[in-house]
This record gives sequence, C-alpha cells and structure tokens, in this order.
Amino acid sequence: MIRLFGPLSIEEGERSLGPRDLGGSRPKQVLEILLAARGHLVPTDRLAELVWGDERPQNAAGSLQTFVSVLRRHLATDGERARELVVTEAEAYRFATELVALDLDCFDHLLERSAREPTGRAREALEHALDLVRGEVLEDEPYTAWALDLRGSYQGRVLGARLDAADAALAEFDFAAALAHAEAATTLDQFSERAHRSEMLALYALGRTHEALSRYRTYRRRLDDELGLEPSAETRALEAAVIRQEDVRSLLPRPIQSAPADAGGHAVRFLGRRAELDTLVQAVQGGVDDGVTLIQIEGETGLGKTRLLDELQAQLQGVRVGRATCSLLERHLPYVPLATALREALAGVELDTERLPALRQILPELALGTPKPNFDEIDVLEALVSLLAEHAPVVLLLDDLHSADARTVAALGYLRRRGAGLAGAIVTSARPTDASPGHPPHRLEADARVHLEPLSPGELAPLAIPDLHDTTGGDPRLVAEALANGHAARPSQTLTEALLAQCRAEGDWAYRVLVASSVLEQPFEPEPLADLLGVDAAEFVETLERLCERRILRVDGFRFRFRYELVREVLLESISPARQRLLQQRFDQPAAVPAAAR
Amino acid sequence: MPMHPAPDFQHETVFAHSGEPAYVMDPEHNRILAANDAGCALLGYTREELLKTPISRIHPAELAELSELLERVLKHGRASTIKLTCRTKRGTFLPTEISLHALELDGQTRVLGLVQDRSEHRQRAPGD
Repeated sequence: MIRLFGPLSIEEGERSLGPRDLGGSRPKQVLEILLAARGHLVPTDRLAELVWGDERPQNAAGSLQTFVSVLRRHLATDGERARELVVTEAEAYRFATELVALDLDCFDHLLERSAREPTGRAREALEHALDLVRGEVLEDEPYTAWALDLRGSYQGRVLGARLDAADAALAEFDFAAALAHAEAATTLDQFSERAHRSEMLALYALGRTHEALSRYRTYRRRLDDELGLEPSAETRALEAAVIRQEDVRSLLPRPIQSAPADAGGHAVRFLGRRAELDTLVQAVQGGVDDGVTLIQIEGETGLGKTRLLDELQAQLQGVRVGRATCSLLERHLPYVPLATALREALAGVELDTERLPALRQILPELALGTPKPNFDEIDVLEALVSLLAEHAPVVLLLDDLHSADARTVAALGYLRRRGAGLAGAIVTSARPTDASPGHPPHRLEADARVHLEPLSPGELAPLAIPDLHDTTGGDPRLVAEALANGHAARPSQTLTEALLAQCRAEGDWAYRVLVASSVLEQPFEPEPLADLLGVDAAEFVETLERLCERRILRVDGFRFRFRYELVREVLLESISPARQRLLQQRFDQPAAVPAAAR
Repeated sequence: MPMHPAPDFQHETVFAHSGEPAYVMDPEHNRILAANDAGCALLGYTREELLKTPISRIHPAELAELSELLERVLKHGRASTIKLTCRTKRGTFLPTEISLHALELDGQTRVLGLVQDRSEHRQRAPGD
C-alpha cells in the first residue's frame, strides 16, 4: 500500500518506507509527482518544471534520470520490480499505479461506490474511505504548488464524504456518529451550511437542544461577521423547528432502501471486519487475475462467517457467483453443495453434456432418463475444470464446509491445484473446532485464511451502546441479539435455545461442568469445583481448557470464567432455583458433602 | 455518441435563470463558453472572469479524472460523478456532484455541466 494521506508512506510486506527513505528530497518529489498523475505519463519537461520551477538546471533530463535511478534503488530491492513500478517512456515517466494499492485510489473507489448504494452500505463505504484519511495529502510537501492542488482536491472530497456519512448516520438514527462526522465537516469548512445543519440535527436528536441552538447562533454570527450573509432558508427553518420542538424523526434524512447490491437486507449493519473483507476481496481478485485461489474463513459459531460471505458476495461484480451452505443432513450425498453452487453460478447456461458427460455425476438432473452415471472421479473433476474454464471467471462460496461431503472437499482441492490458468476463486467458511485434523476440510490447502475473532470495543463503538462489549464479549451473534432485543435483559427464546444446544453439544460431562460453573461467582477456581463434582483436579482442568478452546470459557489468571456473560446467564436460567441453591450450598461447604460420582 | 439537440431560445432562458449552477463547455479547447448566474456564484467569479478561466484551473489536480469523465460523456452522451471537486476563485475546493451531457451546438461538440455543491459552502456573490 502506498499512502499519500498524511506523510508519504510505502508498505510492502514487512518493508516500510517513509519520506526520508527514498534517497533524498528530489527523488521523493519525483515519486510524489508521478503518483499524483495516477498512472498517467508525466513528460520530463513537465516533471522538470514541477521539480525546479524557473530554476531548472542545464541538464535537467540527466538529473531527472539520476533521481529516478536513486528512487528505483530505494523503492524496491528487486531491480526488475523497481523498473516495472517506475516506468521509463519516450521523454516521460510513469508510475505503474495498477501494480500497487494507492490509498487515494481506494478512497475514490469507495466514495464513488457510496453514491450507488443504499444508506447502510453507502455509510460503510464512506466510513471505510474516511478511515484511510490519516491527515492532509502529502503533508511532507507543505508548500509546492502541485501538492497544494492535490491536497485541496482531497480536502473537498473528504469534506463531501464526511457530509454524506453524517447524513447516512442520521438516517440510521446513529446520532453520536452523525455528530462526530458533522463536527469534523464543520472543522473542514466553517462556511458549509450542510455541515452545520447536520451538526444541529444530531445535537437535537441527542436531546442537546440548547447546544444545537447555540451552535446555530455561533454559525450565524460568523457568517455575518466574515461574509455579511445570513444562514440559508433551509438552515433557518431547521432552527425554527428545533425551537418549536418538532418531532426529530420528521427532520431526519430518509434512508435509501432499494439497491441491487444489498447484502441480504441485514437488520444490523456490518461492523468491523474491514481488514478481513479487504483480504477476501483481494484474494478473490488475485484468483480472477492469476488462477484459482482457495480462501478459507475460520471462526466459531456466531462470529459472522456467513455475514462476511454476504458482504463479499455483494462486492463481487463482473464474475459468476454461486453459493451453497453445506449441511450435515446431506453429508452422505456426494457433491451436493458443489452442485448447488454450480447451478447458481451457471444459471441460464445450457450445459453441453455431450462434450462433458462426466458432469452428470455432479449434476444428477443432467442424467435424468439415462442409466446411472458411473465415471471415474478424475473424469468428473476434469469435466468440472473444463466447465469452469468455459465460463470463467467463476467464484464459488461454500458456507459451513465442516459439514461438507468428502467428494465436494476433494473437488475443491483439485480445482485449486489444477486451476493455475483458470480465472476464479473458491471461498469457504468453517468452524475450526468442528472437524478433527484428519477431516477433509482441514486437509485443504488454502491460499489465504481469514480467522475471525470477536469484535473489539472500538468496532462496536459506532453503535454508541454503553457496556455492549462487556455484555456480549464482541460476539456478533450476541451483539445482533442485543440490538434486536432493544438491549433487553433477557435474550430471545431462539438465542437461548441455540446457546444451550451449543453447550449440550460438548457432551454430558462438559454440560454438567458448565451448569455447575454458571452458579459460581466469576471468575472461579477449578479445585473447589472439581471437589464438588468428585473428580481429579488435573483432569478437571483439562475439561475446562477444552471448553476454553471451544470458546465457551476463558482463562482469567489462575482461574476460569465464561467467555460471554450471556451464556452463563442462559445456563443459570435453565436450572431450577432449588438446584441453583443446592449447588451453591455444596460449593460453599465442600468438605461436608460426599464426593459425587462422575 | 447520443447527443442532445441544440437548445432553442426557451432552453437558453431556462439555462440562464436556473437556480442550479450550469455551464456550457468546449472540452477540446479547455474553455467554459457560457455560465449562468448560479454557476458564476458557485465558483466566485464574474461571468467575464469565468469565461477567461481554463477548465483546468477549476480542476487543477483532477485533469486525468476529468479527461476520463469527458471521454465517457462523449462516448455515452452523459456521465456523472461525486468525485470531482471545483476550485473557487478564493481557492476553496468544493465537493460536488457533477452531471455532464454532450450537446451539439452549431455543429460543434459541447458539454453541458450541471454542478451541485454538496457542502452548500456559503460565499459572497462575485462583485459583492
């Protein structure tokens, strides 16, 4: 990634270069001018004019050659790569921005995308774009004219993004975020009417009416003092509405709902996971450009694997996409998930079974009315390769791969190895703890892996719900539940059943341990509980450690605790008050209780 | 290229009196040929100044992007973007939504630009 927001920075793998690492100020300026041209040619005359102005040396072209040579040496350790990046043309140079990720390109792409998306997704795109803004463009070149113009343009673009993000946040009733965006916008442009209206509206919606009116008066005074103008009719009307205490909902911008690329109409907006989504998008693009890639998303139940696939799918344009969810109920049926994904990806395509008869083995509907096909597996896989090559690029998304049949898994592995010249990608999601190391999904080699962890407090901050991270542990499923439930004290019946089922799935003994643990004050020590349950403490700790690996418990110093308070509450609620009291009494007086048989 | 027919007198009146900033441009020669009052006010120039100002001065760091947008207009008849900014006479860069439409005027290819200032930046009208 090359970053022009803030001081120039180049990050490639573990290598990181700053403005002082490019062999001097002139080579650095040459690089910045070429980057500012965004992949277009910069004639040497123009380059010389920008570097030296009227004080051009006698042999400007020779000096530029030297700067470029120095620049290449510092830019990449591999000379070939350096020449690919800084391209010499006839009396001109060019930086091959198509070979690198440039933060300004990413920003522009997200900004333009936001204009085509419904409110929720537009806001995500805008906030993602704004996350790239580390400061003013080319902060290390504060005075040169070419840097000033570029910086000015991006000040305008960032302002536009802030204003649109504030509007989108208002439309989504996220008033704290709207206020933050609006305040950032008023800092960028103190004469922007729209920024001041968004700021007033967010303050009013947050119940800070007095501040909303105070900011209006300050703005009106500044306009009068500095420009001799008064606020626009729309801004004055907003002030009047605030004074009349009108219902804030009647003043808010309306969200744009309809959009072709809505990722499944989720009630909860996509939080965090941006790095993960970027990794997926880049890996898929890599597969489309250079040959099939296999990408695996790993994470425990509820951490958002399916949602991440939804978001990825919404971003895939210009490729055939097929998706399927693997099910334990169909694990004995060969190729079912693969066939489901293929049918979706190739919808509307007439398949040539004369030429590729072995496809009948994967897609049994092609064999209707004919004897049961019995092709060698290698013929089936080669037919699959030919089919995908014909209709490339194809991206297959397979959810819950831990439940897939062995043939599907083998076919995915074969496609990855065989698909070097085949444009496409396979993205799978799986629970890492649901399959033993010998299970086929575990044996699949992946080109990229994305491991999901719970959301961080920072990623939940946009929801502005106090203690949300403490109560949910950042588990997206619990966060969604908290939002859907209005942050109610009790989880829904559906979630309660799902959590209990997850605990029961650990086995009778582990479930008994969990129930007993739920009665205790958290964190709890293992030894007294082992005594209570009548088992050897070392053996008992092994059980607790396994439950930590399963992400139900976690280690807290020398003690253990439930990873999510909600899981403990659900377990506690599931047992009768009499049993709760009994367990508590036994725990308080372990010596008086005979060891129970395991 | 799909092009709009030449505007008649009525269209010219709508153009001149529209509250939305509008410009007629000659993309080949980097010039603004006509601008309405709202268009002059948006950029802070008098009409006389604006017609002498090259388009490249309004978009100094965006020439490549502007060229690509104009190519799209000349190919498809219209194009729009929220990416470009406009530099005002005072040096402020305004975030805009720009819609461009290809026109044929007196046998020449021209581009009608409709510009909305997304920030609603306030500034004195030219000459105030």
